[in-house]
Amino acid sequence: MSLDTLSAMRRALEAGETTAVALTEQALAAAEAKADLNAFLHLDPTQARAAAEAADARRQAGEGTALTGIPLAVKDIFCSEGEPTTAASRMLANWRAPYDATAVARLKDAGAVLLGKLNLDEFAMGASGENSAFGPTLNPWDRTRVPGGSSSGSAAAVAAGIVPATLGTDTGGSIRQPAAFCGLTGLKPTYGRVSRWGMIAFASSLDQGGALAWSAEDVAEVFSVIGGHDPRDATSAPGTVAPAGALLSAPVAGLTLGVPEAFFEAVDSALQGPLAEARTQFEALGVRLKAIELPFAGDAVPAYYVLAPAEASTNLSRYDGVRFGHRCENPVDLDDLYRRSRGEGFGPEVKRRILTGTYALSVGYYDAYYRQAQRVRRRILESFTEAFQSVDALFLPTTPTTAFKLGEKRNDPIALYEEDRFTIPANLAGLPALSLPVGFSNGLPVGGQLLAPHFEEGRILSLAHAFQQVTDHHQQRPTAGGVA
Amino acid sequence: MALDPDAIRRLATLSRLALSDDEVAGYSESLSDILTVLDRLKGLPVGDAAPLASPLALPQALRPDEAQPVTHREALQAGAPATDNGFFLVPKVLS
Repeated sequence: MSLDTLSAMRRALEAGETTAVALTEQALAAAEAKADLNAFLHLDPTQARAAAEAADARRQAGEGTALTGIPLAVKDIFCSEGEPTTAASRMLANWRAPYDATAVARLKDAGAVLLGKLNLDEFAMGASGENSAFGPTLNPWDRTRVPGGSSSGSAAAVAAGIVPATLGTDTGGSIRQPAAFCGLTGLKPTYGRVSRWGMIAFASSLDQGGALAWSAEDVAEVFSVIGGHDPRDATSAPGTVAPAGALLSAPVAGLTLGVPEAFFEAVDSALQGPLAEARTQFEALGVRLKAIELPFAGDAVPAYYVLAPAEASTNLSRYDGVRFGHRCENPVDLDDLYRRSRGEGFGPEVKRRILTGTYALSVGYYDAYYRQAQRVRRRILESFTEAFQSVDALFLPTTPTTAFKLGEKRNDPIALYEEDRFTIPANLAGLPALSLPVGFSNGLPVGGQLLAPHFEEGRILSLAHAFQQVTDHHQQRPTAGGVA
Repeated sequence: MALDPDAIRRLATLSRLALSDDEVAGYSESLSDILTVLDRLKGLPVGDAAPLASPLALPQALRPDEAQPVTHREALQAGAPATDNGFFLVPKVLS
């Protein structure tokens, strides 16, 4: 079996059985061979090879870390110095970042080999990967289906075996939903755990960077490197993140897992079996299940689709055709420059969200929509706080369906917005949440989701790790032709 | 609530977005549909819940008032559409 997990690569590097240069060549060749997936927007073989050689030298000097020499890639919403950073938008098609995002800098400092930048829904707005200005990403399990979004390339690149782990961002489910659709483990940490410095803003009170990989073990390795306080992000949470070993080793027997039945009843029948088996599996690990209710969590979709577009309409006002990004030809005046540069540079969904956000923030509607959504957000947070009085963590579905067909929901924004209904509550409440593979339905991966109180990433990583010690869903791989 | 094409044009003006007539028609339809979803908020019994802007009640982050290296103007302006001698160029504002 070829090396396709971070831990296997690390062990092979430590044992001297392979080199960073060899792993990097393998990854670059795989990226070329699987270019049809459109997972990468930019590959940088020269920089990757230089980083690989430096990593081998570092390991030989006995100064390696867990990530030294491991080929990784990041969603093209993280700035990386001197490289294209597009957010999958025409607006930034020709823009190169002048500095590294903190998460990128920390990966580089750890000796990781960064291959390039991964496709996404434009400015992270989407749940299918189809909103990229540079074409949709395909799902390696079935190339006629979407990989999920917005971290579409981040999921496809791992599922296709190109790199063993990637960085994504999650504003309403954009790490967890593609992880579920592609059979991966994906962690959205607590709000503020991973610095937003150099992460292009969508909705600043919701955006959170995190990692996707095959297993909780590998996700923990990446999270322990990118997480922790950053003075350059004013909303960065204080404190450091424990090493991966500590994040994975909390005892799970005796924990109580809350199961909100209303969420399970709302999923497609094809997902019911794997989710039910996962609940049984947790019980076999000594975890007690407790049925709970989460008042207001079912109202998260309308609250989110007021708050996130409102924040986006403000954040995206910086794209004005003056300081960076696309500028229209021959503007007649400053207003024409703004309007046409933005009209030409943004794609359809981004414009839709700017218009929605502007509406929600405008005079006469502010209280009815924006303030009311903030009040619902408070009630959702209180709902979780109340639940965590009697349970240690929560288990619920990640998605209502398995990966859907390309184009199936392209012209139905509301159907796509509803895709996020199980993932959005954790963003509104700022909770750490993880999706892990719990089985398959018609050859397509099914994801389950674990949520914990603020800063308790270790609890859900440990639960997922324990689950993955006794199950093999995370060890399944797509076949060359598509469905396994 | 429906948003007619004139309402979309007003929002586009506020948003500084140039839209074609086809786009205006499309957004009139899709934003009206989206508003039916957002209107579900209106009847929710939130009582006296205080608005929540950020999920973590963290104290104001402060850092020592020390000079730090910053990205240089030249590097930042390298990505700008039009600059001259350190300035960003825009169409004439005053006649």
